Amino acid sequence: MRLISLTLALAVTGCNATVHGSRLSNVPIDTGGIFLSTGGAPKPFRSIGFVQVRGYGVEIAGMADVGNSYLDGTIRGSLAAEAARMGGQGVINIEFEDENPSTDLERAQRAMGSFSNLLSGRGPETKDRYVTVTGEVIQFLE
Amino acid sequence: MRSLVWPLILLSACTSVEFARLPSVGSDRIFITQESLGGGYESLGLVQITRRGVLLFGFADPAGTDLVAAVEQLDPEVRLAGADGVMNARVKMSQYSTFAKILGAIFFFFPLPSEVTITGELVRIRQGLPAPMTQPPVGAPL
Amino acid sequence: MRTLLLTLSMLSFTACTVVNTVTLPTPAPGEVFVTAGDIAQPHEVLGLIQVQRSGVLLFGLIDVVGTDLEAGFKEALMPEVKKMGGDGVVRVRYHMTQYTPWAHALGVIFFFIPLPSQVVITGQVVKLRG
Repeated sequence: MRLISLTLALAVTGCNATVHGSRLSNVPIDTGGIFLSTGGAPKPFRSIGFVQVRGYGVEIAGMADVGNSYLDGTIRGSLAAEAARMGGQGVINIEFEDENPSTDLERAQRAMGSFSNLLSGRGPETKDRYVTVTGEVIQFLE
Repeated sequence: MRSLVWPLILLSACTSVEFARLPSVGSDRIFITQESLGGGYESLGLVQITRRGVLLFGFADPAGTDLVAAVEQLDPEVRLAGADGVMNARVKMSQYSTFAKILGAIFFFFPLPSEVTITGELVRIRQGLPAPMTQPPVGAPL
Repeated sequence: MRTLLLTLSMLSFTACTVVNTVTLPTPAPGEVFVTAGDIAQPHEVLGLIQVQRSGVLLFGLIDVVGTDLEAGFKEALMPEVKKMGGDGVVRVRYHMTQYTPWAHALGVIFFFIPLPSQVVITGQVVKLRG
């Protein structure tokens, strides 16, 4: 009975997933490097082009994530690097989506499944993970 | 005439509307906007809220996968980050027509999957600073 | 054998990001400008536009139709904007199908099942005033 109640409680409350990414650039700009923002640019600019980055990784046993399916890796890493390669000084109008974040319930299920798999000599449960980010690469005119 | 009744009922259920009232701006309330901020701000990071569940019997939403629940979940995340609000918010959610929900009620053993996602950038407002620039196209004055 | 499997797994994760870009030169007078934001200049909104190019990747690699960002922007979006009489497109949103190197490799092996590929671009077509 307790197990059923716990499962029901998890089923109702464990259906949320929250994903966080680190800070982007402030306005006005107070640090160096590529300017990153989900909004517009703080100075006059010209548009160089557009980028779409898709990072992927694998979640193992509901606990460990390997690969590049983090917001930080795709935005501050790949997106910024590509903008620099294109000769840009910033990326604006960034849109991002973690396509399939795991909820607490799903992580718990996968952890339990992996545990029983390991006991019977099989491998842990895995889940492919994807993050997609787009942005407009700009050069400041000033 | 009777033969027209069912098609009319089905066609009347071709639109589904979701609405979530956003918290009104006040001294102790956060803001959520789909636009960029008009003044200076400090970026505190990115956030994505995903709520996933099923619609039981086509209509019951025990996990809360609507816009209201997603906005309610965003509020503590914003406060935890010490932010004043969220800018450039984007929303994505499952929406079923009334006809699809009725089918879900009839075939209740196949619950309809349901999900809502909100993404955005957490910001703290810096007072009294000029608005970010937009790009002038060639030939147009700055 | 274990070492080989571990090495292969690690190698597969070194290619964990797929990047696609399109570079748009600064538009000369009379050419279409594109931005994902808005513009401050007075303008008239001519309408909304969505362009989509769909096709397949033959042998997991060959994009015959042109379903990448380059083709989507330069061959589909910008000519359509010119046809509408617009000066540019604002609030552009775009998405293209991106496959991991592993999926491309599977596409090469199972060449008889081509990989579907698509690019969709939406935006608001505007004409500048003054």
